Amino acid sequence: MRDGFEEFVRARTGAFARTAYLLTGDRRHAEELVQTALTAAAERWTRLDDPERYVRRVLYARAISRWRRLRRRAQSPVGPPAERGAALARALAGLRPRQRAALVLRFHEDCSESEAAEILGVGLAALRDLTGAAVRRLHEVAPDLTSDLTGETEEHEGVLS
Amino acid sequence: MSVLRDAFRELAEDAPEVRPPAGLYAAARRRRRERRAAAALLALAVLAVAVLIGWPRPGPERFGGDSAGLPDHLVLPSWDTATVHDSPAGPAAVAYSLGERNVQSDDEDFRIFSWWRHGHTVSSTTVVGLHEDVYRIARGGYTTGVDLSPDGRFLMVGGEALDLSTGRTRALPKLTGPRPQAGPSSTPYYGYGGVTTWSPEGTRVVVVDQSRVAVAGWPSGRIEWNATFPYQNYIGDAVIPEDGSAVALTLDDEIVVLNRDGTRRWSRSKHEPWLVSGRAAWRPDGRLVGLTREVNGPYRLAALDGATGAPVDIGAYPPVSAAMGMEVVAWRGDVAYAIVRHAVPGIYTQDEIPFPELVRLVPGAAAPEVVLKPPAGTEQLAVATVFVDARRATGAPEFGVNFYEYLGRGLNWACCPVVLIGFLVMVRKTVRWSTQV
Repeated sequence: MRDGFEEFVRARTGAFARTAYLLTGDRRHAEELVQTALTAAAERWTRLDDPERYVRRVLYARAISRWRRLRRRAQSPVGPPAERGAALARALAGLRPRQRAALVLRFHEDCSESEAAEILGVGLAALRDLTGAAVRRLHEVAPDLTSDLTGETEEHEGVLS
Repeated sequence: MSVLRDAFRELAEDAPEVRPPAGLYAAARRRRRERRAAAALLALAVLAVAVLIGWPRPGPERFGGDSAGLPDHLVLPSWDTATVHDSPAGPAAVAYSLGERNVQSDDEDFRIFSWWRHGHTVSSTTVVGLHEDVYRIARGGYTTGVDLSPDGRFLMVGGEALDLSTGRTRALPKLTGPRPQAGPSSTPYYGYGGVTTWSPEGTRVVVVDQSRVAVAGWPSGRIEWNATFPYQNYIGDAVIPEDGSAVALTLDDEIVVLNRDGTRRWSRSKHEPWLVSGRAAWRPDGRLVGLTREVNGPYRLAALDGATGAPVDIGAYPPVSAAMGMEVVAWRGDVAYAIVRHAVPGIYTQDEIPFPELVRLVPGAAAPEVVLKPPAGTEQLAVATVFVDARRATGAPEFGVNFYEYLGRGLNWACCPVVLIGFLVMVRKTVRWSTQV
């Protein structure tokens, strides 16, 4: 059992770290988030049918709740210096946590709508609303990032192929 | 690939390299086990408290209240019965004890198991209200005893008088004069408590140790007289007449009557056989009532002249068979009321233990009449003798609530799993350490 877990950690920690970073926008918090999710997985390891899905669900759920706590304390995640990346980081910081998570799921992890909805624990319609609102918000603050999306439609069905 | 996806990829490249700590799996599993154990413990504690609080209890209905008297029957108190100290319920009609099995008695050797109780009392006493079926537990001294005052208000406890109406104690009269000194051939004096008891109507109290006696008014506590007498190894019983003018002592092998100045009025061998017993043994007409018994025969009432010690007639009272002892506690005319201690086989041993009953002895009757029978297992019984011929109806008993019993027992039960888990953890660590070494 322990060997399986350690193999899983070696193979997937990098991907989890990237997702966590996109969700939090903060390197230290991303590390903490990944460790928290892996610890939770270890505790239930013998009973997990799909560890990958479980860890991702923990990552998204914890990231959303953490972002809410930060917002209550009037703090914002700090983005990294880079060009498009920096622009994206600033834009993501202005989104609601679920909107941000929806974008990460759909554009970084390339999840289908149903997968993304399942991970976020929302229905398909809600996911579409979240994604559509997030894209519109991105378009307002960083139109370059959505240049190849806009023009198709402002509704999520058209925006996201 | 859209611009947005490219931006996400660029941003993700700045993600930190996460290195989970070594032993993450083991640490996580251990924390999970600890959390589960804590949750189970908490659930157990909650369940225990819920069961204890929700346990079916008799309702608060009481009976009587208008008239004082002995109840028709007695029951055993519940384990969480309130104490006289915390919830006094007024004068008692009856005091009885099951010895070490009376509720809220401490274990003789493992006092720590009942850490929440005051003192160390291995044999508590149950008192039952004079007007209502209110049960309370009295504790004090090593064994509490059942020396109830004739009016039922006070109980002799640990060398003091416990006021059952207030839960407070009152000091008994102090003995004066030099402390008892054993002779060279006598048993050394080591704090033998002697005897304290009431006069028949409860207007006086007598305190005796191995060489001193004091008689005082009650409840005033004012000393009426003191006297000393030669050191005695054993004081079995002390009886005074209602006027407190003398005291009759049952010693090792004789009965002695002392005057107020300590001089010996008369004495008789205890083996004649005369045995003075019970607070009402000295009748107002001057007869000192005792017991006579042939070898292996039943007890019978007999009498001596209190002034001279000469045998006098008392009439034909019914014999009391299979008794280990008898105390005359009250008179109504020529009808005697007595606590008879029947001999019954012991519960844990083959030794006989006394099972007391209150009986009425009517001259000319063929057998004693049982007036009050305590619950099975009772070893000591006393009644408020002023009300010995008054009866009141019995209703649902009211035991009160002893919060400290809930708290103490609950914590004790809650600690058991903690101690067990701690022990197992310690064993496991020891085994691990030894295998690693």
